[in-house]
Amino acid sequence: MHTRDAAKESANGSDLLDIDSLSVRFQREGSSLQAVSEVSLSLSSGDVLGIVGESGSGKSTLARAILRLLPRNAHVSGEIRLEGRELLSCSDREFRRLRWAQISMVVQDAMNALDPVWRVRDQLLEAIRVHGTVGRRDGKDRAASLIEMVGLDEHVLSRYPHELSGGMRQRVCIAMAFACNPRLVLADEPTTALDVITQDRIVAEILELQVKRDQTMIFISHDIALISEVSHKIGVMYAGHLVEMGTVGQILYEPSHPYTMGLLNAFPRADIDHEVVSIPGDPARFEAITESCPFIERCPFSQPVCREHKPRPQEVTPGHWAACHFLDVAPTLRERAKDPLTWRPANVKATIREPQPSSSAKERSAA
Amino acid sequence: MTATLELADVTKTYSMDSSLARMFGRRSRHLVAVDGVSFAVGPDESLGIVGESGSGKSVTAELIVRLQTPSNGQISYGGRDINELSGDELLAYRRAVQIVFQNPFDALNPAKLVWRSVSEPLSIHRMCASSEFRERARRVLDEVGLAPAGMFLDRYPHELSGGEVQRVAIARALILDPQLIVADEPTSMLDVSVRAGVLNLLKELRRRRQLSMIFISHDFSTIRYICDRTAVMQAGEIVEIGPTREVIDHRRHPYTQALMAALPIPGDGLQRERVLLTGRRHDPTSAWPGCRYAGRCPHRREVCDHVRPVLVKVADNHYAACHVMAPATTNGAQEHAHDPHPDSADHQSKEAS
Repeated sequence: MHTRDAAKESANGSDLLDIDSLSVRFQREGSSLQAVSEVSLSLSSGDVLGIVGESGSGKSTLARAILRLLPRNAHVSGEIRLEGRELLSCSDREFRRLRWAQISMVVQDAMNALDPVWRVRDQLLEAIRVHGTVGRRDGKDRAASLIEMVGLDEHVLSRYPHELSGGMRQRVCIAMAFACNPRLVLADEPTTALDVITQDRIVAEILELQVKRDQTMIFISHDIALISEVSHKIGVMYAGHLVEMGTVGQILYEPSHPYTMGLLNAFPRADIDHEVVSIPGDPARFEAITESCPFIERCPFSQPVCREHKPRPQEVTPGHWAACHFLDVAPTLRERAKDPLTWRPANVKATIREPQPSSSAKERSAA
Repeated sequence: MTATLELADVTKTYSMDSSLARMFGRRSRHLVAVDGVSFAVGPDESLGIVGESGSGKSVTAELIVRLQTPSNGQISYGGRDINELSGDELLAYRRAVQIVFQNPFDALNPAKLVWRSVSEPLSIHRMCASSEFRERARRVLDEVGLAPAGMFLDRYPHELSGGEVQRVAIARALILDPQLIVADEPTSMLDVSVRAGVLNLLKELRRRRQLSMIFISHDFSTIRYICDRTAVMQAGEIVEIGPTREVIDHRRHPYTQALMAALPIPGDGLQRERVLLTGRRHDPTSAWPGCRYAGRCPHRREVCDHVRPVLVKVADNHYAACHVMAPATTNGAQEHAHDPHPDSADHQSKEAS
């Protein structure tokens, strides 16, 4: 188990970021959409938390809620504390001072994140001057050293974004995110639009910066292989819920939520031959989530109790928790999840329509 | 009609001159997108084409389905040059070879109902009476796993999820009973759990219909899952080709090795040695005589700057084009013994722990 978590086990000091029961609901005409549901997590200084989930699972909304970048029709509740300071109750004016200086973000679409009519230098300088405490002359030196830090040549500074390749633009965005030495960097699918070779270089650069500065980060992606490489801890999101959280090793080798088990089956691998199994059905629609488990429609192990009660997060082992009613039989479920037949759509639907209490009893006795 | 598709020394260049520059007699500049590509795909065979963006893999796909014509070389199907086909023969070729694009939302008309999009090829090729279109669409939708098809026939693309729309696009490609499907990154836009379903569908269709397939991707993991043989493209050229497992597990070309090394593998964590490509990518407009990978290659030698390497046999059915021919790497063990720049090794391989 060669993962980053091993090195991080001991570092469990005071929390840098504390999110408590964060919910985001988008109000639309006549309807509303629950994009994030009661997400709680905490991050120590120097931690990298990877958040993995499908599109629409609420992972980007979570990041935007932390940076308070959500549109006006978003209703945010809960608490977000950065070094003890509550972020949601700050005034806009106060928060503007924190944004970028304390929390910054690297987004997926670097072309849209940069202003097309500004040269790279001016964009960097703007970030440094507005949010940092740097004078005009120092700012220029700073811009040069930042651009060098992400492996770009200084001449890039006088270029416009359209003159750069996708990978170079993403590097400029990374330089901007790290420009003011923020306490927390959010990276939202920073490499998804790039091909493997560029992705690998950029990830290597982000990691180098992270290690050098002991930077606290939240790294968001749908790619569990990438996430497992950059993170110390992984949070798995499904339909707005954080359904499982643990160290990289715990998530990869002891997944305890059926969704995580399914997700791990769904990836083809380049190094070995194994059968790829998809999770039947489509990601849950937000309107539909009520008091039942958000994963119920796609879960091959669902039981009547899953319809009646939404499972609360429970500890599996120290540092590892999941929100499922059947954590006690997780090892059995893990075995069954490895069988492609388990995930056949017919099996999943059959369990939902005709709950079989007998198989539940069997599982419980097996545990 | 089951036939072999054959590319012989296919080249595609684009002129970079403006008409003004030509008027003043400036030396003409060409961009070489595909250069001297040769391969054959037989009946019931699947070939993967892998490479980073800009390597020429999508242009190759478009040449095969005759969306573009080669500047040089020949593409033949069943022994006939496809660019000399016309009339009924051309229609027959178009029926036999179909393409599935990366972004299904761009590939389908948003204003058309699903069954109309899916059955449109039938009307173009006058395959059956229009009264049968709906029924034929229903059958093929069932086959691609959109069941019950009745739920999808009268929907618009925007009402469906990404995975469902890609299945619709696959259904449309299948409705003419083709022999060969060219799939250009068909799963890279799809969500993880859905992607697995589409990959399995393609695999199943190949088995059931004995389809040949050309599968284009930048990702070795999907290629390994789908393809019997794999060609690695770099700067318009095939630099390595052979049986997929052989190419991946015993990769010989430094570019193939770099592509594999760039893939994150779950569980490897930071133990994985990074081989970061430094240096410049080949400029497709330059007339550089040497190896087009030399600018980024950690094994570069003098000969690489002057002579373009050709494909040579390295094992059964396995060919690679490299003067240095890095020792075969197996998974997990990257060789650095032949690194000619030991002092720059720090920049090339980082273990960011």
